[in-house]
Amino acid sequence: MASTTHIAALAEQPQERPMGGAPHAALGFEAAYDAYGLMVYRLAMVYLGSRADAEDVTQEAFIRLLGRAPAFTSGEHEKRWLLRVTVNLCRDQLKGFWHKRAVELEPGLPAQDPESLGLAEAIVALPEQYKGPIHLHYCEGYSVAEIGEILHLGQSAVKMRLMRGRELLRKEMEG
Amino acid sequence: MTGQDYRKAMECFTPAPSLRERAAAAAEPGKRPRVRPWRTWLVAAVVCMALVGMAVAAKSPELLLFWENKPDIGDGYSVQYTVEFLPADTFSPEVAALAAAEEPNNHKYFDTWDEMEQFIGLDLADNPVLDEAEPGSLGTQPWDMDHTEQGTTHILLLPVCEDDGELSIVQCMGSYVLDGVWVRMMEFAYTERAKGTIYYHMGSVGDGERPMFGMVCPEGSETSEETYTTPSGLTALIVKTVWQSKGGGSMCDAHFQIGGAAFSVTVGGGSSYGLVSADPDQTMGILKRVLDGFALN
Repeated sequence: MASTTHIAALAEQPQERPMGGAPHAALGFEAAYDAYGLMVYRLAMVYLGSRADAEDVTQEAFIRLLGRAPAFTSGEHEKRWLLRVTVNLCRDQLKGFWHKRAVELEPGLPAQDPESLGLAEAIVALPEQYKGPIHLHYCEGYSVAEIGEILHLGQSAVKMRLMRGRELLRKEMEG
Repeated sequence: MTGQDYRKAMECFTPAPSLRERAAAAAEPGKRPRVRPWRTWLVAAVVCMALVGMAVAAKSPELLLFWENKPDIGDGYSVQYTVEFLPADTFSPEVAALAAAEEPNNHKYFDTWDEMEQFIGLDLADNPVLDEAEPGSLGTQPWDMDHTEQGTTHILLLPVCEDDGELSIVQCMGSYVLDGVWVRMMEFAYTERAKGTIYYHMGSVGDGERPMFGMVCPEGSETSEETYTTPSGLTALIVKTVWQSKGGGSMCDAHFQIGGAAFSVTVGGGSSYGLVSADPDQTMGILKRVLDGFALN
């Protein structure tokens, strides 16, 4: 398992953000799903831990993308809008009585190795406010400033949530 | 943990191939969750009653949608409310502080509904029938609750604030036992901050002006609906659900509004979980007794 210095160092290095997104022209469903389906679903799983809930959120996110999205200035603009919508939908799900107070990863998911599954469980178990920054940083490669723009948070808030989230994950993975 | 470790962990999360098809179907215009041609006479009757001098406080929800075959959920329906968006300072500062607190400190339990109302600084609704009922246990779906646990802390307050820290929703849930049958009451009050925000709830999406709630029914449920008006003038939309799966059971939900806040009362559940009733007449009788207990100002 990587040491904690890896986690701290990673925060300082510029990330190579995966290329993706769509041209300015609006995408049809198939192209949009190809571009963003996995991204949306995984973000929803991080927040909700449940395949059924994540599927609901994914479905609704694409309904909004295709039906209610604003005009996008770039593919990156579209991607960030969709990430924001997904986070909001997930947070809505977590707000009500119908969701368990502590989110847990549902059992029976496939994993390449126990360590990866353990990390996935730890990520899903994070307090809600840390999930977005952690996921957008480590999975989508966004910087603190970019995360702040996507989640409508100040940079200091993003930094604090990244720091606390990393610390919680470190403690969890080190047992 | 590195980014590579993180992304490898994300490989545990792969959507089913069927999700593409579902999302494609849902995203097509005209293919949103099916609206039952939903007894337009019922809606018209409710609207007429609302027009004939009934206070906003007594107005029942105006629209009901049904959805079917949600994976891992089954069937259910959505109810749309017309609420009043209250000034945030209607509520006590303690409620806003609670909403802004980090989990797990962002919710609070109370022994009585009155104590909760004192904390939030607003008298939501009085109901002596529920006040005198035995306390029940808190949970989510009626058929998933562990009814073997009962305690005195059976009122839950769960306020919500937005990213800017402003209070948006004040939601409460109370759990009771009446005549050996489980009863749950839920209340949702919205502040002006919530207006225009589209909340997503269990497959139901509001429109920023009228919140929608989703109610889940076990697979294969049969439902029927009626409008009920209490002697005090409260009008509620009642949905009765009967199912044979999960050991069989019946449930009656009442949806109504008091003082601009949305309410939902559920009676009954699945027979395999105790403290429930498979008798639709019994659950309906208890529900109407509870509804009759609400006093309107």
